[in-house]
Amino acid sequence: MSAERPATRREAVRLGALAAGAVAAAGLIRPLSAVAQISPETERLRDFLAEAAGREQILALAYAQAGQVQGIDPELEQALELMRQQVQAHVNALSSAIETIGFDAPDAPSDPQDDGVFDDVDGIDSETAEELKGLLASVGEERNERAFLKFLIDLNRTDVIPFYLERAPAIDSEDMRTTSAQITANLAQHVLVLTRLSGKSLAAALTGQPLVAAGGDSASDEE
Amino acid sequence: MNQARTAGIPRRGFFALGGAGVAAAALSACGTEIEEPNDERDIEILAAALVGEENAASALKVAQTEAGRREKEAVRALAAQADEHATRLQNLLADLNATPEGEFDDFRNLGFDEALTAAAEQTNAAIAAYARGAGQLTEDFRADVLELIVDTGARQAALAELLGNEPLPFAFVTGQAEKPHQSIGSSEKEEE
Repeated sequence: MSAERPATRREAVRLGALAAGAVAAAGLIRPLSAVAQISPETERLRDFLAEAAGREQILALAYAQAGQVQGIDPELEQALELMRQQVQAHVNALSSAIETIGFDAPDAPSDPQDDGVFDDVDGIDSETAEELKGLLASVGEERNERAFLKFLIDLNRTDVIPFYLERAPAIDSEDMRTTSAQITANLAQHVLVLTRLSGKSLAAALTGQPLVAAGGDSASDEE
Repeated sequence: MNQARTAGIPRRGFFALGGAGVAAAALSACGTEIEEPNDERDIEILAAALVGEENAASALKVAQTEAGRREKEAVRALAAQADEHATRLQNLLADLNATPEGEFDDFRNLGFDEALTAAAEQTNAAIAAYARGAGQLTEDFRADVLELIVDTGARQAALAELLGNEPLPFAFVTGQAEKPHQSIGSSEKEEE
């Protein structure tokens, strides 16, 4: 995990908050301060946070990789960087919440081959780790600008937004459910903006494929 | 394998925001009583969202009549979406045997930009209700508001584009008026 850890929990929480726009909630803190043994509710919350952080880390890397496509339009590069920063803010908030309940967040992958970051992480079982590794590897495939836009739309619609819709309602933290809704709305905005950047009119972006993929549906299926 | 750190965690009654231009999660202060979900609160939250969606639809229908050829189809799509959401919310409220209440506004006589601005404000009100609802509603309704906030968030970005504003101003879409880098509350209250 992290090479350098903050010296104290207090420091860890503060760093997370300052860096991220933090998530630190009484609702999250109570379970562990009340009992030394992790409760099933806290375990579910940890699993949710760890997988959410992992998916968003992959999304942040994908935005970064897309921004490095050779000959990219400078305006598109700027938009992708803004989206990357916003996703990084989600990651920071989720990581801070994981720290707050007493665990380590998964490290961010440095490149699409860096899939060891998903091994031996509390809250990410081997099946989930394999899924995340597959997703991470897909970021590294060679693409031009247009193909990358489609890939990013697909990643949001198929792999990140549906995760929140499916998992957030049942987690045992009022604050994290609210935060998940706020994140989800932002990612939906990304899909709209990416669709516009791919050349569709606003009307077409609003009336075309849904912002969330139904099972098996993907952005690339449409065209 | 990392281990759970089980030492006592100090309670904190704050939320600091900032970093990458984010108004982040406004989280409940420590020590406050968390109210259990109940029908009364469900009705209050869903009704607030309904008012936002109904008013957004009304404002967008006014904007549609004022729209030029280029914008008309997009505005029509946005109005239809707000109408669909309002219908869904009415059905949810009907499940609770509740009669919608709230201030439904009249946006007639507004120009295109004014109507879009009103629609954006009402869309924000709906988003704020959805975000609150995701946290506070009875579990039966949480999936509904999460689904609704997806399209509504995108509508907010579309309206921003139509108004010539930044479509992605915040990493956390709250429906409130946070500015990037704004802090909510103090950062150093804690019980040790």
